[in-house]
Amino acid sequence: MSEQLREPLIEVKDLRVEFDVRAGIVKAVDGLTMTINRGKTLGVIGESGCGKSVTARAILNMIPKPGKITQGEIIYHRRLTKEGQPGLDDVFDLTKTDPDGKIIRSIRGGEIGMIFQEPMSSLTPVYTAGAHINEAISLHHLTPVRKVGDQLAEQVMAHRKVTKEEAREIAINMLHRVGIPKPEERVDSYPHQLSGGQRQRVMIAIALSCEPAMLIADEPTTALDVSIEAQILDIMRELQESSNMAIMFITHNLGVIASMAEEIVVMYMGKVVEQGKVIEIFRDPKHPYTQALLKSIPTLGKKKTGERLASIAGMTPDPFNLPTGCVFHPRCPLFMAGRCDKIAPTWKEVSKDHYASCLLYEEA
Amino acid sequence: MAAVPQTQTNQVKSETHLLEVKGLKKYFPIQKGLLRRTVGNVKAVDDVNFFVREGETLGLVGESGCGKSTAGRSIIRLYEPTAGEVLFRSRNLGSDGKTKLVNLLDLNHAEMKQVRKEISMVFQDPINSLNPRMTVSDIVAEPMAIHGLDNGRETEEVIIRLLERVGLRPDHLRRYPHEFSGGQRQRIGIARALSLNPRLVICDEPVSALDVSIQAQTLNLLQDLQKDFNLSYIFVAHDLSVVQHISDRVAVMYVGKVAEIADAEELYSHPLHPYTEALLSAVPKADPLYKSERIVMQGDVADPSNPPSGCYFHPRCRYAQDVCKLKTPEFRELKPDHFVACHRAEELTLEGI
Repeated sequence: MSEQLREPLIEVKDLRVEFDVRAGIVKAVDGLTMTINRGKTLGVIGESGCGKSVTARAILNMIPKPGKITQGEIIYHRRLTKEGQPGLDDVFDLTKTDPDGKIIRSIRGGEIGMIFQEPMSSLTPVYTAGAHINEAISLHHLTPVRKVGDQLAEQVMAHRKVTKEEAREIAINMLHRVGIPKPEERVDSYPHQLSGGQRQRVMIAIALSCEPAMLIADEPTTALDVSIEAQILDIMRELQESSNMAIMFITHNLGVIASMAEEIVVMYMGKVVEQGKVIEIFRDPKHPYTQALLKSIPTLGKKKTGERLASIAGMTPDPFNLPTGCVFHPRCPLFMAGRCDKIAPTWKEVSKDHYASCLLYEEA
Repeated sequence: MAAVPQTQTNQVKSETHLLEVKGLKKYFPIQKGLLRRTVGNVKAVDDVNFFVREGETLGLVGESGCGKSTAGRSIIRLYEPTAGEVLFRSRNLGSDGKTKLVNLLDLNHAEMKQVRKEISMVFQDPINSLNPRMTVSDIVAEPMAIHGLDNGRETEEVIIRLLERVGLRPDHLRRYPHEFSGGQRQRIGIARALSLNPRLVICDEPVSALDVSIQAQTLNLLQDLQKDFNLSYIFVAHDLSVVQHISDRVAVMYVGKVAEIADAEELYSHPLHPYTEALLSAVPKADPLYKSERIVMQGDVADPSNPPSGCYFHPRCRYAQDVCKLKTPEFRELKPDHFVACHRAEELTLEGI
């Protein structure tokens, strides 16, 4: 909770991801900077197409073609735990790793787990739930082997891959932890035999089976009912507490983010427009986009007055033809003619630990 | 209103009922073996009762698989209901400008076609519900063509007015669905639904595929259109806050049955069914300081092909008693306009929002 406990795990600095398509270049992420701390949850919100998911993929260095990271770095503070001793941080830039190389492959799924939005299409229909989890475990999970030296009783630790039986054991245990009833039977079920909520729980079990240092959850509950959603959020919080896992939580559901995240990043057209503590963002949003976004959701339990929802005028701009100045200006209710359409706003600290990029907070 | 005797209020009310669904059932048979013998039924909609008043919005909520979409589709016989009555006050089948109360399930093909002019539908997925090979003008004009109301020039003007009404431009007429964003596509779907001047629109999850800001625009549009054309809506959705925002009354469904119906504000503040209470408590609030007392529902939604005995909700209900396992609760009006199907509704005091 306190300042001293903030330990960065991933630092994204001035990241730019471009997609070179026939119609031109799309800057999916443009100058993004953010930090994900150990054991904390960072919420990323924004409309579809604002670059949330591309950022997540950039961290795992798996931007689909024709996308490319053209600028910036993603610093990963890797902690290699050796038996018994706290490991030293090995700090390196993920964007510099070979996307097919050994290092990034041991990080993907092993040290950084990911949950995708659509549980039906992210599980292979021809494998059982157990097989999916086993795959993750056998790729990443290494078991220490004790060899007892005969003379000096010296313990040598080596790592070997888990056996099939052990993997199955772990898979059942994981299914149990994510709250799937009768895990011993369910481990042999195929995805189509599971309900939507169960499938998503299998996805979470896969992501968590290797005890990752960070979990990227890309709209993990969007396709689910509220009751299942609540269960899954609970599981994620529990596991975060027990293993000090960092979570990058991508969503456009503001209710979910309010209950999950400590810090929030608001994205619009590939840029971060506002960042701050969750309470600050909800109580005192600074950027007109955040304000509009918060007003556009119907609040549960509010007295009904037949009022209209405040909606953001217009649509997200054409990515090939971004507006000049501030990208939000054509839709902004506080548009200042002559300034917002000419000057691009800079990143300003508007109050303590609360940043926004808007000309309202800059001197003329 | 409470002072008026029960029977009298019911009579007064039924005058204004545009649609009344009584004991509606839709079973999908499960067939097995070489002879495709029916070995069981998926009771998607099982004895559902509700009514819609003229000009109001009835929200239908529930978890996925609870039969809310099936109920909506069974009303206009997109699915042929297994049993029940769907009473509709039809203008087209009445004479001398008067309406006639008809049971939709008794109508023949020609009569049903007349009624379909009065009841239209907006679908969930704006990508799949629009034909990719048809232009916007063809899509919006199709219902008119089917009902023999297409007369060239004039129709085009009507379409242009409709498109402008839903926030699209006349130059969009010759474009194809793929050229539009999700929100715009949903507007095309809405324009199509309104092209025959319906009185009742069944909206099947119309905003769940849309982004928050576009969702707000679409909800506002639906509300404006309701005012302008005096439409009644059946609004099927799983998002409780959206349903609360748009609905006058809300029906909560669980495994093919209606658990509770009440005025939206009443239902959210004073739920009478434990399922409604649990569902409301599960909704994450957009307020970081709100610490909710969440009620955990054990297990999954019951299987509609093999539902539990008694009250379908009893295995997940924290108030369940022996009677809940044995007897199906009666769907009754506990307070004026507040219907509930729970044995213990009288004695329980449940938390709303």
